[in-house]
Amino acid sequence: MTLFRSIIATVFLFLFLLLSVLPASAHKVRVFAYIDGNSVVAEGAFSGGRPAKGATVTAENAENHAVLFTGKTDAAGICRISLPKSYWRSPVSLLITLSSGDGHQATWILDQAESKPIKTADAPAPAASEKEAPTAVSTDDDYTPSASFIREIVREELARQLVPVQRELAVMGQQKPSVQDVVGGIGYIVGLAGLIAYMNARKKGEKG
Amino acid sequence: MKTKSVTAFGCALATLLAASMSHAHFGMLIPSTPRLEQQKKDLSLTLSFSHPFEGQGMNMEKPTRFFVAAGDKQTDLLPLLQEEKCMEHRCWSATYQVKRPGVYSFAMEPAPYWEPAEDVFIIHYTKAIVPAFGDDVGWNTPLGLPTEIIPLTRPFGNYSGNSFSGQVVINGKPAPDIEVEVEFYNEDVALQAASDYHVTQVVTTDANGVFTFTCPQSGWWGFAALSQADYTLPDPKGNQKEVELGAVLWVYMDEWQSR
Repeated sequence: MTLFRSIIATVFLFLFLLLSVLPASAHKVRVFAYIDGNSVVAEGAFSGGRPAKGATVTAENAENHAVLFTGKTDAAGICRISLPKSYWRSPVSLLITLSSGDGHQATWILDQAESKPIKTADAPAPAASEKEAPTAVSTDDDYTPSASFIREIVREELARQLVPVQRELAVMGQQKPSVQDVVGGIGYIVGLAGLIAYMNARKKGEKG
Repeated sequence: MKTKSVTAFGCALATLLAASMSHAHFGMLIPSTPRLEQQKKDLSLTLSFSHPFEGQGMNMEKPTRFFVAAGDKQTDLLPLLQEEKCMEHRCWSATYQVKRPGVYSFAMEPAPYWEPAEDVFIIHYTKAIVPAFGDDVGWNTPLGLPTEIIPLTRPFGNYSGNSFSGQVVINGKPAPDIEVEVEFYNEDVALQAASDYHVTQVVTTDANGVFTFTCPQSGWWGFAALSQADYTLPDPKGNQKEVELGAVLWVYMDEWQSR
């Protein structure tokens, strides 16, 4: 009886695992992101080309994974998030994650160094569209830079120098085990446990 | 001693003969990478007319057409072509910036190549299909070339040992019972053929113009479906000569990766 039950349990578990693993690859979702003006545009689609509608888009700092902003894709699978002014002062590489809600997700690294030089002055947004007074820069000859201004410059410099490191980290961060890996791993454990249960049951059966 | 030198001479002669034997000509359009990914965004293409397995080049005139098709957009790439040297002969290359996801079909129409050894002109309409940034739609859209191979197997994301199927069309109609020559791009001539027969392998199309071939090695595989044009061209002496048309497609087979 115990033997029968453990076999049934094992079979069901394997079936469940198979079913839960298969659709994931068939519905592979992808995301492509780029900077347009002062917005981040993320486009989500499934393999075969269907747009990923109503998917959650998260943009995080690729370095420290702090979530900067989130949004949702429209009917065409497109999500447009305008970047805050604070972003352009010290742009970082962004890790864009699109989750289609059914456990499928894809990521895209928006490498700031590639699309634009990391320099506040070159950022198109504040200069072009927003008439912002120039920040703490003074034109006085005997001007001594304030601590906060120096801090700002150091921060920019650091950001620029750290881009390759950030990129590496982001890539490493991307190689997290997928849901499939985890489920597969659990499957192995459960399967082995089932096998042991079966063996035990058989031993008991032989004894009794 | 004498026997040895005779043997050596014989070997040298055999090698010479083998080398001079006419093997299949292939229009070549080889992308620098089989697919574009987030970490691999640069793409250049090399166009040549060569013997891909033996690494023998021929001088190639500037192609008459070179373009890329993605979705319903075609872009002329002829102005991007730069003269280069491949396999010690004239060839052409271009760098193309892919900015968006898509399936990019590159195609070239070479200038007719006069081959006195075969007493024929050769025109190989050559394609290579490069997917970018996850897109996987449109790889089986015909480009409308006078003759071309329409992939039935998705022409990317395959392993060595996978079979590749395609349909050969001439003027848009399936081409039954024609020969498709298959050759591996033996980069740096690292591999040696088991025999002369192995250099160019051959498969024929069925009644629907369909062929299937299993690629046993990772790398670029060229398929050249050959037919005869319904027109002739004047050779350098002004005599009308037949024209061999080729529908060539290059497909990349990947190796399994270990964790």
